[in-house]
Amino acid sequence: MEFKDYYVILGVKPDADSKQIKTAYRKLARQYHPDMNSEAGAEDKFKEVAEAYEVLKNKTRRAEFDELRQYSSQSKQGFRPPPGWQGSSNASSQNNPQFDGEFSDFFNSMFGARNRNFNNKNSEFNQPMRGQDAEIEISVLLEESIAEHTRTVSYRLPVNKGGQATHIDKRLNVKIPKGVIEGERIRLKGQGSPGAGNASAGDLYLHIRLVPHPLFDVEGHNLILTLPISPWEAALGTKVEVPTLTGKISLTITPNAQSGKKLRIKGRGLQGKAITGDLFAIIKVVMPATTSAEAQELWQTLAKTADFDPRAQWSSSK
Amino acid sequence: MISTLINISVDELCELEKIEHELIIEIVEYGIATPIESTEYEHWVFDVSSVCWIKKAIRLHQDLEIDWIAVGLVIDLMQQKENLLKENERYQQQLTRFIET
Repeated sequence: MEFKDYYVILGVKPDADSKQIKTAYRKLARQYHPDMNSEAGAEDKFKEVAEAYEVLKNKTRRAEFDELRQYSSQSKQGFRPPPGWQGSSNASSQNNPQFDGEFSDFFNSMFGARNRNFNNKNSEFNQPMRGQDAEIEISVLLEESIAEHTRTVSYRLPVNKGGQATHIDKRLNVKIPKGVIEGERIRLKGQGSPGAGNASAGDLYLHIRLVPHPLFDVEGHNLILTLPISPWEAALGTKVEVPTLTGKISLTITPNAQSGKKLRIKGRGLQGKAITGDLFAIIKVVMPATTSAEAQELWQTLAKTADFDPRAQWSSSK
Repeated sequence: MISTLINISVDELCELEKIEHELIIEIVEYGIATPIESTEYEHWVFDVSSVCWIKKAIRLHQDLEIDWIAVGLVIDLMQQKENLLKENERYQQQLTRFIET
């Protein structure tokens, strides 16, 4: 077993007072807390820091740890507890959610067993513990989101069997309700980690991630479509066929349409529980990649006859 | 087929998170979560995303040993950051569509 030096983990000296320990913990917890830091490894680091603090903040536990630390310095090979090691610590970690089954082997061996002994006498301990919740991301296509559909979800849950950390693989058929949006969460009751004893299992949360669409962008329940048109369509106006999630529709472009102009097509966005979004087509005037000699002449005629200065604002602001 | 839930009642939320009803009132007062409908407290219902923010707030309160006013501020900033990141991503995507030939 690997000895964990909790002083090193918190970056404090072995004679640090409780205030220094608390300050060190807060600084590291702020840095590595999984809700504040999504980088790989941050959660493991936070657990390590929290475990160190759990031991060092408690006088009795800290005294026991100091004893173990002293003993470990004399041991040349892998760490083993002193023969007949029995601590007297009675500090429970039951009220600290980050510690549910998350202690290292070192902690469990040195302090966990004693907690169990202690807690067996404690009526609170006899209360079964609900399993942990789990969260997984699920990718949904925009086309799928407009109707209720069934998905097969596979995921892995960490479980603790007889003190050994292991896992179970689960596979579920799930109904994804109509109108889910980016970032929405769905709860599956009792599909998280199993509870201890007769306690209920935790829940599974599905975090909906909408797959980027080749044509549409999503803004809440609204859909945004970039609509390319030619310069002459912009000048003269036209009717174009526009794709929606449920089929094509005809859209009228009025003459002198500007690039960037937003056209609203009501009710063709995503359907939520209470509201239905709109589809917005944003006009993008596109020049042809190549121009024929004939077309070039026509542009030149237009250039000579048109009275238009697109940079007029520049001269007025001089 | 597993049934999916998109809402949770205040009673069930308190039971699952092992928290007092008073704490939920406090959490709502600090703007960490908002019930779906502004009904009487006993009938409050939250969407599941709010539940995730509430769980996050409880973890921050316990793990970082910070008071609820600070937790409210942190959650507000985290939500703002999340929304801004999403907005930025969306604008980047739209811009790419617009300037690409």
